[in-house]
Amino acid sequence: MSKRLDIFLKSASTAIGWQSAEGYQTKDLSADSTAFAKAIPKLENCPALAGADVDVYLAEELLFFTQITLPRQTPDLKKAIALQLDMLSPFGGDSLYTFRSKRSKEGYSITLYFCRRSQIFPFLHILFEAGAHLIGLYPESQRYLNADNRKTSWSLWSPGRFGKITHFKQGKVVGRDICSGEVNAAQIRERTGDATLYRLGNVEGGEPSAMALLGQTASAREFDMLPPSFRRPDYIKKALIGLAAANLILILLLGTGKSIALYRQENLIDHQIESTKADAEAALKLKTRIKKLKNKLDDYRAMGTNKDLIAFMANISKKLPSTAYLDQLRIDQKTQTITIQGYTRDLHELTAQIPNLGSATLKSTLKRRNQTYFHLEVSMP
Amino acid sequence: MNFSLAPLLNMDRKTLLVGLAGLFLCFGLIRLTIGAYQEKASEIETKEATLFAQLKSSRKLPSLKKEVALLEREMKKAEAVLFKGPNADTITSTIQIRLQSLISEAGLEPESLRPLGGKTREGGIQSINIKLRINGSLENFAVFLAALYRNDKFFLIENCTLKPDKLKGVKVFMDLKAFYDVKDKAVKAKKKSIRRKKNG
Repeated sequence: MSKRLDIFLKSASTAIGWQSAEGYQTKDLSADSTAFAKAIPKLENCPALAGADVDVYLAEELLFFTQITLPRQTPDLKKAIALQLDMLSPFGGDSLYTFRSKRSKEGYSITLYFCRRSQIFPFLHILFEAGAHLIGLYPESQRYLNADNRKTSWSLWSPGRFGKITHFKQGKVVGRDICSGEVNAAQIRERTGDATLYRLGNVEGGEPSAMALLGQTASAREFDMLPPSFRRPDYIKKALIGLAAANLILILLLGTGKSIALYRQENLIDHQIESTKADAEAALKLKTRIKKLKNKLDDYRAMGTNKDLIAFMANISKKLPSTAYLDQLRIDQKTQTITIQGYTRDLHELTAQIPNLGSATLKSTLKRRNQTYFHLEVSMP
Repeated sequence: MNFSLAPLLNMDRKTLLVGLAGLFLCFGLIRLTIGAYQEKASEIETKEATLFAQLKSSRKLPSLKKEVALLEREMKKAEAVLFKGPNADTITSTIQIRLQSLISEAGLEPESLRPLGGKTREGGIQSINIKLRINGSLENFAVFLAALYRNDKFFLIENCTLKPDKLKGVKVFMDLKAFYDVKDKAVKAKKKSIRRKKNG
């Protein structure tokens, strides 16, 4: 992390401030730019300016503060203020300025800070030449805004013959009073009410010193007057943006490539589906046809088949003994049986032949008039 | 505990919040993109499965054609054994004439030949039962059976009873079944409605 330095420019002096292990340190320097330029390289026990991030803060006595209202119809605030610069600024064309606007029912409420360009530029040049990385040029009051007092209402008293009190609310400058003469804390307190009052410079009485607020990093980034020509290109920022952009492009390219591949695959599949659709439909129709034909053939098969009765009767005639006579031969397709009723003189001879008839059973026999009447059942082969 | 990341990251809270919002937006977009990608991928998977099934079916097409041709040949053969006619009465008459002819050709004497009606099947094949009483020699009966088997129209012998007869040789009682197909569908429907009426 780069070093961070604060340069305070006042009418009577300048100072350099930095955070150290012992707390916030300051070193007073000359208000004369030539002396300042000479002193800068010889600074001891102080972080080097070269490569450091530097915030420049202008004391209230170097600034002109005003608040104006512009109509809501104003198309370009920046242009409107630039046009009125001679009227608004006591420094005329030699002005550096910054503003903040707030839209309300009445119009745009504009808060402006002006400073003399010719008074500030020499110091900015010296710092720039010394290799400092200039971050911003702010009113001094912005340095005292930090994470702790951002959400509170407080005032900063810059004592002097024409003392100035800057009022803060929720981390924003909401007003500024200029005292017409010497005032004391009690008189100021009547105006500020319950808001905490911090005093710049030497503390007399019970007011807390604004120096205590310097211990923390400044959190405000309002009213920056630094001209773009003094801003060092932020290479890390650029590199980060470049990397982020490269990553984004890479991700987009990858995503696009993947999507294209996916769509191409889909198109190919769609094409193949389309080309095989006719064959697949024909196959489906044929399958249906096969099913129908098979069902119909099953119906035909269900009609049944005839047994070879001629062969069967020939076989029976051959196998039954010659002494046996048939009274009735009944063939039943449903039960697949053949019932033979007849008579014989020699039952023993008949029964001996029964196993040769296949699956045959002798159901009954009856002896009458020297003949044995029999009832035989043979299962169809 | 009042903890803020803003000072650590050296940026104000607004920038940090905008950054976080941007990050969440990125995550949301990534999630949406991944979701869309997965949806597309699953769609493609389904299409691939469809294509695979279609290719499988297409490959079977020649064998299916062969099978259909075979079955149609079988079907033609099977259909040939059925009596055909415009209505059941005509077919019954045809069947009786055919049987009479077979009986006389075999040298048998017909005692009675009675058609008894038959069953209606869903498959379109209708049947008619015939009770047949014939007399004659056993040899002639064998000739009749052989002629019945050789006949191009199919007769199913359901029952057959043979009794010796002193004068004629044998007496044969047969329950035959003949099959037919009514060509006219309107006639079929009429027959069906008559049968329904009869059954109440």
